[in-house]
Amino acid sequence: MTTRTLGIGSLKGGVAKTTTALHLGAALASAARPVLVIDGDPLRPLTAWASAGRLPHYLVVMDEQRAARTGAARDVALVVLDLAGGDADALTGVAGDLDILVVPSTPDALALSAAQRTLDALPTGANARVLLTMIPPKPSKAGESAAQTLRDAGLTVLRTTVPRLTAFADAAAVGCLVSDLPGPRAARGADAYRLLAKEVQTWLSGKRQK
Amino acid sequence: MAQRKAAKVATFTAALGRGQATAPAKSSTATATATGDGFTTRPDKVPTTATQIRMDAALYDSFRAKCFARRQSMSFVVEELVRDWVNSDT
Repeated sequence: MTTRTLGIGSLKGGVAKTTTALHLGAALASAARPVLVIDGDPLRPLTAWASAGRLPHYLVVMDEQRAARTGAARDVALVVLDLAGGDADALTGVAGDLDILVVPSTPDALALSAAQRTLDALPTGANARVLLTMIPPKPSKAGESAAQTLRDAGLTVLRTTVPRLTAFADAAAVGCLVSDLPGPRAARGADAYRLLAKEVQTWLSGKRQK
Repeated sequence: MAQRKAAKVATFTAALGRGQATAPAKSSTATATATGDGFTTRPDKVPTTATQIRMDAALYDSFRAKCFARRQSMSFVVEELVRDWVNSDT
């Protein structure tokens, strides 16, 4: 089985890397197509999230040590790797092994600058795009403004954005996916990652297999 | 420092299924003992963390099938097994 690899990484913390790794992985997974999500953060936030046992059985979460030992990647068509914020060594070292890399960024100036520095630090040939997360609701234009800033700087930005919702924090606290929570706001969060999954699938299918 | 970085990157690379980890596992396969639940470990030491567990590749598939049958994530089942195992006298 050819395993495709998708990384989620940034030199900045607190930009929704873990939330994105889990929900994007879930949106790309199905019972017939399990996805391995690797918790590459030494603080093991994904492992803690999964420990409640409320995630779908076709979403396999394990840390990089266990994944390396078991060779679990060989059993799945897609691996999502969540890297620790600020771990430049891991990010630059592993970027060449990834088919695609998603660099999440919030729409504030410091995070946008960090996203640019993250892409600058990547080795030549790395296939990376910025995902804008925690976008405030309209009438705020923070999302559009941030996307334009990044495009003006020559960066590639994913069309889909992830809204700022407390439902994501609730899902983390309960140990489930945001789609498992009731209410229209939780549904908006789930919809955002479903849209993102479609965009990422198109991006992945356009990437030459390694 | 450079060695540590190389080892870390090698682990990530192996985890992605792109290569082999350079650092050998601490537990010895030669002295491993089957415990009957899909794991092996050193006989002289009860594992206290999941990182000390070594799962045989051949048993991995049946373990995965068990997780799927129980409709639980593999990481959850691993943690559950480790907890039970550590709390037992074996």
